[in-house]
Amino acid sequence: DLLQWPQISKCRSPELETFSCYWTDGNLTVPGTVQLLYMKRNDEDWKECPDYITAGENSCYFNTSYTSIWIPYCVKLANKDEVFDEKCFSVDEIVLPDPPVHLNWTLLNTSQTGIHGDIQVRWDPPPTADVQKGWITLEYELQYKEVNETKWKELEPRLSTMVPLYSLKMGRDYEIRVRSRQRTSEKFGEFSAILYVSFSQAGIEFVHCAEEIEFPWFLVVIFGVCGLAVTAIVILLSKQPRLKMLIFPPVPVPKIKGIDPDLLKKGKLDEVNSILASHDNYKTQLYNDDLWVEFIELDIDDSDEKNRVSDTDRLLSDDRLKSHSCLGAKDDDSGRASCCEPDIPETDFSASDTCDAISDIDQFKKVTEKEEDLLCLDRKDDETLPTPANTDTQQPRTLSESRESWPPFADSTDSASPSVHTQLSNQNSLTNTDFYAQVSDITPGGSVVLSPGQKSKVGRAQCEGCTEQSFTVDNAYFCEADVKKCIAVISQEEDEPRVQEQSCNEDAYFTTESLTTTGVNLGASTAETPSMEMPVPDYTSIHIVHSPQGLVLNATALPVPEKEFNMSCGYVSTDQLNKIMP
Amino acid sequence: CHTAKMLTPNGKEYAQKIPREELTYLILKLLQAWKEPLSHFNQHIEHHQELPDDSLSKAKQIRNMVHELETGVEKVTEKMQSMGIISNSLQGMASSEAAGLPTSNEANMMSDSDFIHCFRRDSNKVQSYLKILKCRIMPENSC
Repeated sequence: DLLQWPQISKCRSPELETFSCYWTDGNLTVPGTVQLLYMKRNDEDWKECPDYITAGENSCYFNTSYTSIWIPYCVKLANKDEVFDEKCFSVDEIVLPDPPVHLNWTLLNTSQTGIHGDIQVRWDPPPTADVQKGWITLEYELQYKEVNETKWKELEPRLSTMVPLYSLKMGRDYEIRVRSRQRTSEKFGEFSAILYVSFSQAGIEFVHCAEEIEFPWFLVVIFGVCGLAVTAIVILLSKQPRLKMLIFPPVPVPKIKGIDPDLLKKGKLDEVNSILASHDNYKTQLYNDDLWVEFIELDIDDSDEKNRVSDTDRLLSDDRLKSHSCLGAKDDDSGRASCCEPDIPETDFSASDTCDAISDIDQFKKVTEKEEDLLCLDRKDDETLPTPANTDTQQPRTLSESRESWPPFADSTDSASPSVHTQLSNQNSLTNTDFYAQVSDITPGGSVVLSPGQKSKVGRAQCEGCTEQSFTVDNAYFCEADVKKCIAVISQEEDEPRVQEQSCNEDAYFTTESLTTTGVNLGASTAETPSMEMPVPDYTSIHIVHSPQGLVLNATALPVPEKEFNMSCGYVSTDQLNKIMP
Repeated sequence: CHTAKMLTPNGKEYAQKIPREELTYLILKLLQAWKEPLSHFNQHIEHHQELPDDSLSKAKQIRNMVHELETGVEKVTEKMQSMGIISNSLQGMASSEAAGLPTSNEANMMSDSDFIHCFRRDSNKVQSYLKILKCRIMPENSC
């Protein structure tokens, strides 16, 4: 409707060797004939189209002789009087290749189900383009679709002239077309003729699916989620506790026996603490009771060594506990008494000893060696001497305890012989199990200061008298026997010989100082530190308790290098050893 | 374009007709003519704020590619001369046409769009000439 002049529609070069220009006539009737004039950059004047025919109507064809690449051209459409249209370009810019030719396809492989298959499509480059010499380089773009589809699927442009197509449905027919462009250009040429792909025509066996059923995964997921949600809600809201517990089991809360969880919740810590404490106390009390019961029984029997031993073991094990409890219980001078049995001083002492001797439980457990000590101790019924409790950890307390035990013991040795004996038995048991309190010092008041110490067992000595060695150990336990002897000796003599070193051996701890002090307290000259042969152990077990005189400790020879220790019994404390050693 | 004065074959036929030495020489001359203008151009566009960053990097990349291509063609030329594929008269031709080389001033006076247009055209020439030269070197091809 619009009046249009003749226009140059396009100019294209298919192979970069020739080019053609096309124009339209327009609605207006133009007087005269329309001519296409062209001019190269270096020309002076316009020239007329050399060929109006070859390219068709309203076209101008420039063959190779008229075509110069990379040189600007200008063409104009004009008649004699006026110019209708003009265009300037360079031939290398208007390259639009011809479509590829000779499309064909081959079957690569088919799926196992026979529903899908892969094909390879091949074609030839347009014959006009001189690709072989490399004068022009072409890219190809393939498009395909199913026959009854409307939208084409495109592949990436590529330089090769063959393309595989994967996973085509063998029950459907496909259409394929290819177009090309110069590699450095942006515009594609025309599409090639459509290639029809039909598997049935090729005679390929395939499974014909009437229709493709796509599993409605989406629906499945939706319904599954809804169902689960409904089920969960129903369970939560249902009143049946069993089902609810099955699906949503209750989370267990921490429970402590004897304690009401409400206490914990409400934060009544005091009550909780009391409850917990009472539990422990209760236990220890039980142990204590058992210990005392057994102890007493042993004392009465007082004959069977084996029983003693066994009892001793038990006692020792119990002693430990008892000592614990004892230690915990008492705190003042008479605390030791309160620890176990306040009415029996000796017992207290022993109890304290036991209390103190907790640390050396391991050593005390060396039952076998202690047996003899016990025996020594047991034999001397009338001589019951509380052995210093072994207290490694509770040294100060032990000292105080020992202090206190000494005097009471000494005082009440006679009267309390049975108790003392009992205590001694305790001690024996203690000694057997190396449960000794190291007597580190003896106060002027006569109390034995116990200190922790190591106990090393060295041979058993006979339980006889005191040995000097027994007194040498500083922080050692006294063998009861030795102590007794020693004390007796000390009390009687100024210098106590070491004669009875061997008397009481075994795991007797000696505290040299304590021994000496003990001797002094008892009226005897302080026992000189006996031979340094006393072993290092801190405790000497009191092997014999010589009630009036004192304790006889079982000296144990310290394993001093190059020294032979004649251990009466018990152990020599490290202090002793140090003293012994120059 | 500053390289417009160079006489280059404007068609496939001409490219096939001229001696290989001349074709090789032309290729080298074209590449050499663009090395310096490209560097200058890169410096020039670095100050353009409106250009995206990838354009600047692309320009640098192109300049490096031209440089490497020129080095590669020189090596191929030496190889061809050593193998006797082409004669050694190349040096003479280089000196005679030294005047034809464009000066860098002409390249600097162009506008940016003209510069890019000229470079595109010359790079297309170099590509086509190299393709023809490759075809002509292989004796089995009927170039």
